Amino acid sequence: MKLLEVKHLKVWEVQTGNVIVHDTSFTLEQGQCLAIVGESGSGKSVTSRAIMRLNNKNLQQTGEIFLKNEALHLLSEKHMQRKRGKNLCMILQNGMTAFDPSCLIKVHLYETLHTHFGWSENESEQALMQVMEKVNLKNPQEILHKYPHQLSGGMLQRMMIALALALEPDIMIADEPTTALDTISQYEVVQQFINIRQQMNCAIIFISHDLGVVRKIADKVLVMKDGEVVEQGDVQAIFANPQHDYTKYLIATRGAINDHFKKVMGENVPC
Amino acid sequence: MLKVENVDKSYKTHGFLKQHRRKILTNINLECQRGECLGIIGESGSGKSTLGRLLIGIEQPDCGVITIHGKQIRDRKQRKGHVSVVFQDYRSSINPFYSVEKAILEPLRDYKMKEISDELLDRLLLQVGLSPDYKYKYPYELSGGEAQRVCIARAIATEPTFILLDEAISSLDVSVQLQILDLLKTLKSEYNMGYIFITHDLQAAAYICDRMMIFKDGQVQETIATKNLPNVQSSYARKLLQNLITF
Ligand SMILES: Nc1ncnc2c1ncn2[C@@H]1O[C@H](COP(=O)(O)OP(=O)(O)OP(=O)(O)O)[C@@H](O)[C@H]1O
Ligand SMILES: Nc1ncnc2c1ncn2[C@@H]1O[C@H](COP(=O)(O)OP(=O)(O)OP(=O)(O)O)[C@@H](O)[C@H]1O
Ligand SMILES: [Mg+2]
Ligand SMILES: [Mg+2]
Repeated sequence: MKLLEVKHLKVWEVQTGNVIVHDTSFTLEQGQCLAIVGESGSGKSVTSRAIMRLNNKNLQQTGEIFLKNEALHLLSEKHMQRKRGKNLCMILQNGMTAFDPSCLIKVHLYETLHTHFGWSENESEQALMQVMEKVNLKNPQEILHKYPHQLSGGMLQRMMIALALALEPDIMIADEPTTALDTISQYEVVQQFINIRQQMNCAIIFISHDLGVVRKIADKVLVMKDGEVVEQGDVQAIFANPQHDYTKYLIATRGAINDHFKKVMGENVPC
Repeated sequence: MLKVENVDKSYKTHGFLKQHRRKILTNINLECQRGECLGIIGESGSGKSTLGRLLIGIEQPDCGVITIHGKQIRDRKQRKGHVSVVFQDYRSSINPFYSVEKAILEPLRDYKMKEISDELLDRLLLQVGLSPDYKYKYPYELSGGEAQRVCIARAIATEPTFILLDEAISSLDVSVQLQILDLLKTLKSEYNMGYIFITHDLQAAAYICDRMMIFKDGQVQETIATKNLPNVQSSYARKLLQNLITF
């Protein structure tokens, strides 16, 4: 079943008329994972925020967005707000900006869970303890009682992922969710993303520049450059046989860092 | 030379029973020469950024000393012009009301450099792969990777002797990553800069670092030359390598 359908999405800057995302269309099926890769500044975050209708006010968008056949682009802001969290959940690129710096971490989390499930603090705490363990966060009690600036970058990132796991949304949009994680935590988190897809039938939009991770968890990939989708399709097919020059270039440059690593590691390259 | 000797650091925690302190760093020792790149690799939450904040002198260790060229880093005058930093939380490290131009030139004004020409600014922007038009933009108009590159441009603008790079290339796509890593390599040999390169990206670390320090639970597990990476001894370092998802 088609879960999300984006048709002819266009985003531009109001003042200058400068177009940031050109005519972008894609679909997402239930249980599917779509990766968005591409150049820094190519419009990946703007595209994903457009789906949530969360872009800065100096940007405007047109195009149609359907979630389970419901037209999100026609909803009032008040109705849209209800979709965020339970139906569409976003893990932001920068953890620090996602939490209110003046409150303890738990305040925001309990509030969100209360809004969507009506849970008491106690129920929320129980649920959070479970998901925090899944993303390799130790001492959950202590973490919940800290302010955002008292947590490390990777801890904030995993805290957002934990909240998303607790919310069990229809669609999870994760913007560079593993950038601040060591390889072990990253492995756990990637495993969680794979699990929730299988268990909860949740679909994922996964923005990342880490092609290794993308290949591991995504079914489909969308390659962006300068606000345009230059190529989209099956992950394995595109990585094995890229058509567009930019995709070829992207894959080749990782090669340069990779080759060096292989040289250092000699025979011992893990797979 | 940047030198850390027997440093400990703890933070207050608000436990349920009573207030106590949690030790974040235990007995840290390290040295980084000019012209050297020392990688710090380790578990998320293990204290890497905390160590970084001590290294640049914005927080003080509980005990131990940190010196740069033999002088205490605590002393703000010693730091000036010697150490610059790219913070992990790059977004909040740029003043939201500054244009890119002002943000990059801010540290230069501080040092009263004579002629701050547009040329320098344009060159810095080009070096980090941004068009010179970006100087008129404000932080909220930047993508994650663009903001990160503005911070890198700001850090290299003063040609410091040491740069602390805390996950400084984490939001960049691979082609830009390569460009930045090559730029850092060039600066290192041209100006004899030293880097402390905090990252979780083992492959990027192997590309640029001369030595790597493996970090877990606030303690140094082992320090090795990059060329010896395949022969790491500690079980944690081996696990890090095993869990790597390569492309
Ligand atoms: N609020 C805004 N106003 C004006 N321009 C913006 C705004 N937000 C983003 N942009 C511009 O739009 C382009 C796309 O930004 P976006 O954040 O989507 O990039 P991205 O693909 O996520 O890049 P990265 O990988 O670096 O995060 C960038 O060039 C950026 O400068
Ligand atoms: N100001 C603070 N007050 C209390 N605790 C803090 C403070 N800053 C950091 N901590 C704690 O210190 C520990 C180490 O944090 P740090 O940011 O140094 O980790 P890190 O190694 O940089 O992790 P990451 O790779 O995720 O960025 C964490 O448990 C964090 O909660
Ligand atoms: Mg982005
Ligand atoms: Mg950190």
